[in-house]
Amino acid sequence: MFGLYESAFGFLTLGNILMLLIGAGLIYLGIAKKMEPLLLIPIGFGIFAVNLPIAGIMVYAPDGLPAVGGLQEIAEGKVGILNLLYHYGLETEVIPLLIFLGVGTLMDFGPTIVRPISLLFGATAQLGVFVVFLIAHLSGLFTIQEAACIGIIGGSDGPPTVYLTVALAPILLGPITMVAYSYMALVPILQPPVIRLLTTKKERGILMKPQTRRVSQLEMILFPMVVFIVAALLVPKCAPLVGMLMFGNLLRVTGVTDRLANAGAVLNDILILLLGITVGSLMPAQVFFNPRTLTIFGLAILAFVFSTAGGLLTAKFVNLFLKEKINPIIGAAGVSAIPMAARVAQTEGWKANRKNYLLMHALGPNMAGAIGTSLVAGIFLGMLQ
Amino acid sequence: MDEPKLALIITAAGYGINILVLGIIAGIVWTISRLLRREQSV
Repeated sequence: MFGLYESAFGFLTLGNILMLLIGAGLIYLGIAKKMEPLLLIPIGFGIFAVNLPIAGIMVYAPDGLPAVGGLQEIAEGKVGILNLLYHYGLETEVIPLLIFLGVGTLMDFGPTIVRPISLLFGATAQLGVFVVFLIAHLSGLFTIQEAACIGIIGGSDGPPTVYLTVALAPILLGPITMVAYSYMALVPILQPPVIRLLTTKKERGILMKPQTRRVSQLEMILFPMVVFIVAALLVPKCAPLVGMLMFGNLLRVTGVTDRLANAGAVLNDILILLLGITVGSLMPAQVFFNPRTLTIFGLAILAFVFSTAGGLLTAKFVNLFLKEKINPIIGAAGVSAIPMAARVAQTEGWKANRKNYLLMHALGPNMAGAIGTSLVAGIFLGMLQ
Repeated sequence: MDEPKLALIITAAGYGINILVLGIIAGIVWTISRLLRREQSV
């Protein structure tokens, strides 16, 4: 009567209710705690969309993946609007790649160019990616492809994580993306204990002089081209990611393409909106509440810990050969998570020595981390696809 | 090759390749900076 027999209450499971609470929790964290609000709020709402039974916003096929269809299928109620976004935006890899273009327009590689050794920290801070890849696979819970996608969470960079997971383990895209973005927001909590464990107060207090060298525009223009050409020649599968990032950055630094760079930044916002809600809709209760997903949460912490340690220990090692010592904390910023990891370096350095101002020094490895994670995604694709 | 052994090889090779590629880029960036600065000072 009055259409009440069509209500979805009868289809609501305990899992759905728990997922609605998780979605609400993410929205709360985004609004009240300002934790990655641009992503966690759309993800939380996407979780609502998929866990309200028979709503039809995101429809799943029996194989556990979103059903495929176009406008005709939407009209027939066989798929929903989020199925289209998933199919045309994520499955085709368009959204993560274009987001990376937008990210490139926002990045300043000046600190990396001033101290090229920053690139080494960006590389060695990928340690957690490989360690967790190995652990995840040896646990027997994950295939080798799935393990790679879990490991790359340690790179702490969203677009490469989404790009790799869509290609190698699309069934895990929802949980992996949610873990990656929510843990990125937790970098200020996850990194300091590792930094303090692996360094003495004296090391953390090493004073670094402010960088006074001005990077010329020619260097800024050559940098994205050099990175793209070398990376694409040596690791061809990383070319789409590195190419988009560097193209975006080139638009930023030429001095004559400001309008395109600004457009890239706006495009970034639009795509993050679409990515967030689509990723949230990849978390129906049956996907989320299984031991594998819960294991991903634990492994991701390990990935962050090892990545932080990788960059930091490399900086300590490099110090053995340097006359003018660097503060090893900046190595930990090689974990991408821009700019949170650099801010953590600044805070920890300042706590150990009130004269320390490490932010600009830490931004170099921080930016390099984004290139490092893209390379690793390409390496995994080349070896496992 | 069994998968655990493959995973081990990918771990070692992947990490190594990553460091090598970024090391090469760092070398090129450093060289370009030096050349440009030398040119400016001349």
